[in-house]
Amino acid sequence: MSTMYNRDMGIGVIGAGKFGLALCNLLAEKNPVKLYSRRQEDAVNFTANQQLRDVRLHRNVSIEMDLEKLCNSCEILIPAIPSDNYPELVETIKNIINPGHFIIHATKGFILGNSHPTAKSHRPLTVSEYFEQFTTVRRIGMIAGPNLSHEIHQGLPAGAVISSRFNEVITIGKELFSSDRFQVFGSNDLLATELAGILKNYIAIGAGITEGLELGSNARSLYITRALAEIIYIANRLGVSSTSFLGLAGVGDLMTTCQSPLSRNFTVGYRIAKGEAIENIINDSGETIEGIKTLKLIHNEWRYTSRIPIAQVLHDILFDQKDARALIHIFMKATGENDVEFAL
Amino acid sequence: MNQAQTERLPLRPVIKDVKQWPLTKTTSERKEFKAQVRTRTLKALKRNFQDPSEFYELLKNVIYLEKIRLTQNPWKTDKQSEALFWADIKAQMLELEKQNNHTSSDHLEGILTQIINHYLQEIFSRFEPRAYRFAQRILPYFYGGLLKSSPGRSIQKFWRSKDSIFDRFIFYGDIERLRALSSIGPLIILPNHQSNLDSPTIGYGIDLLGLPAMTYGAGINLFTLPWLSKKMNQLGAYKVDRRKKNAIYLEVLKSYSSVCLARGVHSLFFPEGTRSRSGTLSNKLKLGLLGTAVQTQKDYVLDKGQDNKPVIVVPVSINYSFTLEAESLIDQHLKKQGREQYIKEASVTAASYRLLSILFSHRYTKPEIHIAFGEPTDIFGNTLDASGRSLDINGNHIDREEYFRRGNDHVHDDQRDSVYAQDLGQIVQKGLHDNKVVLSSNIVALVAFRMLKDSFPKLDLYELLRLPLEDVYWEWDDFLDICQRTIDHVRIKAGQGDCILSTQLDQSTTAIVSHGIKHLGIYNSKRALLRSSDGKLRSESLLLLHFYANQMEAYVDNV
Repeated sequence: MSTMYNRDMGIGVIGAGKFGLALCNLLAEKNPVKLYSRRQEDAVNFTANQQLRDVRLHRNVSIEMDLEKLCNSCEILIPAIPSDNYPELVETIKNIINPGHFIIHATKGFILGNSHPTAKSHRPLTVSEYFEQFTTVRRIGMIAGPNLSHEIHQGLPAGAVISSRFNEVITIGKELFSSDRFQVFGSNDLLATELAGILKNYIAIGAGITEGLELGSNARSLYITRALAEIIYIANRLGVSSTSFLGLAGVGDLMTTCQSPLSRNFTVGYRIAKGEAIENIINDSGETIEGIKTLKLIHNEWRYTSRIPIAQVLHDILFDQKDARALIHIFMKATGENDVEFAL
Repeated sequence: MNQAQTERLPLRPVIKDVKQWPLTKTTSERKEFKAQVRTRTLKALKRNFQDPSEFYELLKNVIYLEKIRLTQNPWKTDKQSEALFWADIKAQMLELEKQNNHTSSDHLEGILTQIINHYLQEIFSRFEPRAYRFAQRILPYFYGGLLKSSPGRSIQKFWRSKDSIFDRFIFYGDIERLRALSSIGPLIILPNHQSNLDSPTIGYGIDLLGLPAMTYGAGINLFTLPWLSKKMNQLGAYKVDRRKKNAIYLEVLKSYSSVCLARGVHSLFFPEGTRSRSGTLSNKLKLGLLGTAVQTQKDYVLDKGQDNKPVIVVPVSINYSFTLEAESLIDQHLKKQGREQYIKEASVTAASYRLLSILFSHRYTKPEIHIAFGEPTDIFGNTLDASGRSLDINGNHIDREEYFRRGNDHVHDDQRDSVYAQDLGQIVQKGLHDNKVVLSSNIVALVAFRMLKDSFPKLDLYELLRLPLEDVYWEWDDFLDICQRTIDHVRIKAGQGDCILSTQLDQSTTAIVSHGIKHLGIYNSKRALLRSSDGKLRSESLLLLHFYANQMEAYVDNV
């Protein structure tokens, strides 16, 4: 069977974080991959022992320290960087990338619309919207799902969804990523997938709090279910249908991040519940914690106009020194009579 | 002010010799043209129906659908010969089946070609320069009457009249660039649709700007009067039959407009599909023809011989202070929306009295038509430079090929094209919205209706529209005050690129408001707004007021 992808196109992964490296290894099982890192020391380390941040990289992976060269030699770009770094990335490559490029990003975070000089909209943008607004690349997709990088590095089985409005992006994504240990599904609802991935982050913080308070799994499941209703409500407000939230990017991802101590957002909640200060946690992390950023944005944008009790209380706990136990009240004292009140 | 520098209308034609117009050439080379349409249709159908058995099913299906249409939904315009044609096609199919040839693609293609030719015969517009010149001479008189001005400069001098229709057509946008681009690639002119007057208005407007004639699709139901139908056909209208939804017909139609574009014929297309019943801009544009634009651009790219011309998209906003058929439009809209909640306004005054009052009330009006041309872009929304190359927002040249490239090949991908068409729909929608020209009449209608709503906050729309007219009035000073604030608001909006301020808004608030009231909905049988003898502002029809307020609704925030 002929494939859509051919090796002349080239694959470039942008970002050498844990998840970027995990994607590199998945991709490298089938094709050569170029990896871009902005940390100069990575070049030396990589050449010395084909290893970065204690992760052994497949021999098909090579390193490219020049972003411009990467974009020129690769038509398929896979950015896996924190949402905060997109404005800088786009500023660097906007004159190099063209409508012939394909982008499959892996970032679960909003970008502030006004973080770019020519931005018109003030609603926070998803990564795909950001690329559409500031570059000419149109064929954009996202890979999302319950994918803890740690487990992928161990070679454990996992699955993901590739979402794009363009079928060719989905097909290429499937060709590139799927393997015996990695199952890939497709979806045409890109915005829903992006939102599911973004919104679940702040929910994970709350899940960490339930763990830190040692409330047990009954309470945590109660919390997660109520929280799912809240993020679907927000998504509906943004004109996105609920169905994608039942897939891998929604429920799938939520189940993993809400119970794994490996998840960064989950850890934030856990440590807060144990009485640590938010500043310490942020300082320790050193990178953007998407959940915290999402929470602030959601709180800012919709606190007056929408019913978002969980986001509200999480915000108070994190930034207004409210007692973490306040979270319990939210899901114990909810007045809703119906179990499933959000329309699917 | 965004008013275009159109020194003296009409502008000198871009292509002087009518014989050299792409549309004229299409008629004179019609054999070739039709062959091109045929080839393209066959190619497209073959791509979608590869197997002869699928082809056979398609033909059977089309014959069936056509039979249903002829028997269950006949229109006056249907030709007698049609039934015969389809009977003949059916007989041929039966014959094939009898000989067990129905899976032979050659035979099937023969039948298909007959069907394509049949449709093409019906659709084809036979542009006639003589008819066009005739219209050029007639239209000034028509618009002269409508806009209460003299139909040309010489006549204007003779009557010593102060203004001619050329002063009443006010254009916005970069006309020089539009004229320059018109000889680089085919223009797709995409106007909003409020009134039956739109087609002649944009046609005449294009002519005033010196652009060559456009072709446009017109519903076959408009071709009932033989004389008018012939004239429309000679002026570049091709027939579109909404009833025919079968795959072959739709493909012929697509190929028709695609080949027209490929030959550089400018096309007019109302993306809203039909006149706006409510007065607002529709938010569901018809993607069919926009899809053709995408495919034509793809054809240019895949077929290198075409030198990669751009297909140029131009959203156009046509604005009048009146819509002749406003009453019936809003009536249809509310009937559909409100169902039993909506009760039609009763008319009380005698028709003859009304006619007289209309004539008198408009003595001192100077109606104008404001037409704004949006920024011409390629089908991806990129701006174009003088030579027709696409530019991104950073000013870099974009190779349009890239949009259709995957690896080293350019590949057909209908799904991709459909996403591009959807996005083009968004771009056009925004273009239509942003180029709305705000007239004085828009301001007064909106303010009056908003004030009315605010003073009866508990009533829903239908109850509001049923209010007894003697209970409805506006105090002049309050009204002026809110108009003032709304105008300020609109100025800010215009500064943000949300709309365009008309030349009418260049005066004092009182002058704007009086001008607006005087010109709002003239030619409707009732006045949407008028100043009564007690100095208060009153309305003769809240329906009309609602309709005209809707035109402006999206531009003023609820404050």
